[in-house]
Formats: sequence, C-alpha cells, structure tokens
Amino acid sequence: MKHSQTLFVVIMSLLIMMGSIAQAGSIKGKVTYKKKKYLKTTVVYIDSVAGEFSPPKEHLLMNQENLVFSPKVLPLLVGTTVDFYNSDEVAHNVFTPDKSADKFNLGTWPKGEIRSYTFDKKCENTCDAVMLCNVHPEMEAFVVILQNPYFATVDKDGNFEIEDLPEGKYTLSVWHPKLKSESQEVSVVDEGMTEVTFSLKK
Amino acid sequence: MGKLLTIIFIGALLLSSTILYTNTKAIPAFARKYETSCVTCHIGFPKLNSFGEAYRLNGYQYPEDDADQTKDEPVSLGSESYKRVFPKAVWPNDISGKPPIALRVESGFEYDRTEEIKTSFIAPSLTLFSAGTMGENIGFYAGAHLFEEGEIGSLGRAFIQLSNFLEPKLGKNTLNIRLGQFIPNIVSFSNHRGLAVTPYAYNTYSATSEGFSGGHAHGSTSFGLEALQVGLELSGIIKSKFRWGAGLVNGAGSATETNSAKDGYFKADYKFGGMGYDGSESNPDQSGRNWVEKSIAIGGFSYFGSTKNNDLAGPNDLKIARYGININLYWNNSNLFGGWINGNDEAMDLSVLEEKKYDLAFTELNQVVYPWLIGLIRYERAEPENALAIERTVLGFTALYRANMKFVFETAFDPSDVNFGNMVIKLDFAI
Repeated sequence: MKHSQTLFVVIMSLLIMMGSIAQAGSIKGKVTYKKKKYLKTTVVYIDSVAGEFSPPKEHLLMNQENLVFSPKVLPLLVGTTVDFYNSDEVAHNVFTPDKSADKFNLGTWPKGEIRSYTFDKKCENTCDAVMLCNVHPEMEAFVVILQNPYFATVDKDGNFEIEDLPEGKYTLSVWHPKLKSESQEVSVVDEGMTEVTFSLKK
Repeated sequence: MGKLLTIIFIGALLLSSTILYTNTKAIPAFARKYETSCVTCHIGFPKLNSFGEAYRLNGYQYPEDDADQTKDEPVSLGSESYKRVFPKAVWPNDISGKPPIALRVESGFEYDRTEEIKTSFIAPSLTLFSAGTMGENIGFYAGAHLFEEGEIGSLGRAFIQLSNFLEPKLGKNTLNIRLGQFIPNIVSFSNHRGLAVTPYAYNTYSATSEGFSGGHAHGSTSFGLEALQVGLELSGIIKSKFRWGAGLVNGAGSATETNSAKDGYFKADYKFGGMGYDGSESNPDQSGRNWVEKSIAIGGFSYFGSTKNNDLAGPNDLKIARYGININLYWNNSNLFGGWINGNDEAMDLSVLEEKKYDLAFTELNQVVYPWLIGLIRYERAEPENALAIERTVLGFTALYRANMKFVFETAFDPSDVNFGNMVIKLDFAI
C-alpha cells in the first residue's frame, strides 16, 4: 500500500511537471538601433506577470575593474542582493542618487573587498538605479529592478530570448539608459515561440 | 558653361598680374572626430556650405545629436548620470579622445610688377589650431600663428562658446555665449570662411586709410570689422531662419584695451529657403551636391565704438561707427553675395577733429565648376567723402588637389588701371 501511494505521488508529480512545461512558451527577438554599439546595454523584460516571485538566494556580482563597472547594466528581480567587488588597486565607492535604491552610499573600500546591497524596493513594473563611484566620476552602471524573472539582456547584435514564460498575454518592454523605452503587446502560446522586433529611437 | 568659366578665370590670370595674403581656416581635427571628409562642411575649404555654417553656429556641434555622430570615443570627465547628483558634484562633461589639434601650412609664389623684386616664393606660414567641444554645448577654438611668412606669429582667435544656454527654459539655439578673443559675428563675409586670398574691403577699409589694404585680414592698422576683438558676445537662432548677434568688446581691434569705453554691435539676418541656420532643412536638394541650395539671406548690422586719441589736441576718445546691409544668394552652383557699408570715423587731422565718412559696396560671385574647382570674381568700390572713389576687382579660382589641400590662383587690380600686374599662386594644406 505504501509503495502504491509513493507511485501515485510520483506519477502525479510527473504529470504536473509535464503540464507546466507544456504551458510555457518563449519570446525571441531582435532590438535594432542605428548605432550597434548602443545595443549591449539594452534590457528586454515583461512588464508584469501575475504572482509573487522569490528573489534568488545567490547574490549577483557587479565588479569594479579597470575603473569600469562590469556589467554596465544589471537587470534583476526585486529583492535580489548584489555584491559590489573591488578588483582594482585603487579604492572605489558605490552610491546612487536614485530613490528606487534609497539613495544608498556603501562607502569606500579597497581591493578585494565586497559590499552588498539588496534591491528590495518595489516599484510599479520596473525601475532603475544608477550606480556611481564618487572617487571616479566617469564610472557608471545601471541596475534595473524588475517585478518578475522574465527578462533578458540583448547580445551585441541585439538578439534576445526569454524562455519558460507562462502562456498568456503580456506587455513586453525595452529599457535602455539613453534611448527611449518601447513596449509591445505579445501573446505567448503553449510551446510556442513568439517573435518580436524593436527599433529604438533616441 | 563650366569649362567656359574655367577658361575665363585662367585667362584673366594670365592677362593680369599685389600679393595678398589671407588667413583661412579649415579644421582637420573635426574630420578626425567624426571620421568625415572636409567637404562635409566646406565648399573648397575654408568656405562653408550651409551645413558647415549650422555646425559653426552651434558651437562646433552637429545640429542634431552630436554624440551619435562622433566616431572618436570621448574621455569622460564624469558620467552623464552625475547631472542628477548636482549640486553635490561637478556637472559632468567629456573631452576629445584624440588631441583636437591641427596644423595648417600656407606657401606659394607671387608676382608684383610694382616691386623691385618682382617674383618670389612665399615663405611658409604655419598655424596651429585646436577646436572642438568639451562635452555637450561647450565649444572652443584656439589658433596660434606660429610663423607668418617666416616671422614669429601671434595668437589668433581663442574663445569658449557656451551653446544652447539655458536650453531647458529658452529652447535649443536661442542663446549662445562666446567669451574670449574672436571675430565679431557682424562679419558676414569673412576671409576665414571665404575662397579669396584678398581681404574683403568691406571688413578692412576705412576712410582714414589709404586705398584698399592687402595682407592679413586682421592686420590693418585702422579699424576693421574682421579685426580680432576681446570681449563677450551673445547670439542665437529663432525659428530656424532668423539669427541675431550682439556683443560688447574692448574695441578697435586691440587685444589690450586703449580706453575705458567699450564698443558694441548688433547684427540680424533672415534666410528665405535652403537649410535653416540651425541645420534644419525643409526641402533638401536631391542631387547629393551639398553646396547646392536655393536661398536668399538678407541682414544688417551696426557697430559703435571709440578708440583712444593719441593726439595732444581734441577729445580723449575718437568715435567709430559702421552700419551696413548684406545679401547672400545661393542658386544651384552659384553663390552671389554682397553688401553695402557706411563708415564714419573721427580722426585728428593737423590737430583738428574731422569726421571721415565713406560708403562702400561690393559683390562677389563664387561658381562651382566642379566640386574641386571653384571660381570667383569680386568687385569692390569705396566712395570716401571728400576724396576720389577707388575700385578693385578680384579674379581667381580655387582648385582642390585633395579635400585638405588646394591651390589658389588670384589677382587683384584696379579695373580703371590697365597696368595692373600682380598675381599670387598659393598652396594651402591642413592636417
């Protein structure tokens, strides 16, 4: 009897998993702009997806190396913690003037040290915060704080793919630090691939 | 028609013969910054096409989206986001990645039958100049004549232009501020942006001088519109087609102030047709020839100032006054322009204060025969009060050997004097 109960649970779990896989689709697309070099800092994301999403337990990393933040743009789910690591021989600081990250200032620290911040302030759909170093004013990076985990950073050619999206209708948007935001309505179908293109303007 | 014009210009040179020297400008540093050819902005450098003029007026920035057009990666002196931190941080800007420096070499050959040494090769002149932007809406220009015809030179223009000042409130192009040593914006026909070697009498002539001056456009001992001035100038563009400028300067073309009074000037122009002064273009020419447009611009100016009286008799200061009008017509491959000016200068003559008045008019045609071959013909006439009228005709052509290298063949003569006899062939290049 105990074996048959276990078998039942396993079978039901498999069916549920198969069901959930079968109900997911993906969005694939391309973002274009007259200057290709601008594309690498583009984030594509779903505005809003029903439900609550738990942030990852693992921290994301933003490195400070050769007087540059890396990555330049870091999209993340609200509640995610970012470790700011100093790889340089010189001291760095990280602060933001943006309310979306409570205008934090993590202070100044030397090579090899990490200071962390959790981006837990919820805003409507999305918001961003610029990361600056007051020791080196030319350094700049952006954290894009999102409501859900369905987002992607485009590659150097502007291509992107968002996978495992639940079936449904969504607003797909593009974020860029210098270019105008764009949005499109998209439908994600069961096991389907929705293709989208964005043409950005300044 | 084009070949005929070429033959006419060459023929005129062969028949005629004042070495005249100019100081023209074209800036390869811009070519490096945008990785574009000189001909993007020039019709046979240093003459500007309408786009080049819009670029100049906008403080050496592309009329639209300068950052997008810049190929040279600038060096950031503060990320753009630091604007949000202000006033708790310095307002961010950037500087050119490549040194914005260029060199210009001018030399040539002259023939003047009135001189003892009738023919000579001209000792080279070397000019070092730097121009560009220091981030958004801050333009600069600095030029030094290192050697002028073999002699040690002097500082030329050196200024900062704050473009689109208070743009969020006033709008783009409404207010620009220039500070430093510059040529006042009242000059519509500048030798720095013209094809001819011979200076414009419109800018250099004074009833206190004897005849038309040759030589350097800045070099006249008497007052001239194109003289370098030290001071402050405001300018702007309204609704694309109207431009204005007003300035307050030390005056009298002297870098060092000679009296307490300041000189002031005002200028306004309106352009019908063609590209707007802000670079906007409602009906661009479809031929791909970026010097072609159909437009007419009409303007006027006034200048009032004073200079120190060095005579023991008379007042402390001697008054200077100029006002005039200018017209500039573009029609296909032709550019016909001209102006009239009235001058009234006080001068001491044998310790007696006199007013030296004159009227002067001129017209010039520039004809693009080929994109590399441009002819010019100019007629100038001055009528000083209480003296005989004087005339000058200038004939010449510019041949671009390359986009940054040219030969100028030119002669200037009194049309009523058949014994004219001067000619200059000038080689000019910039790197």
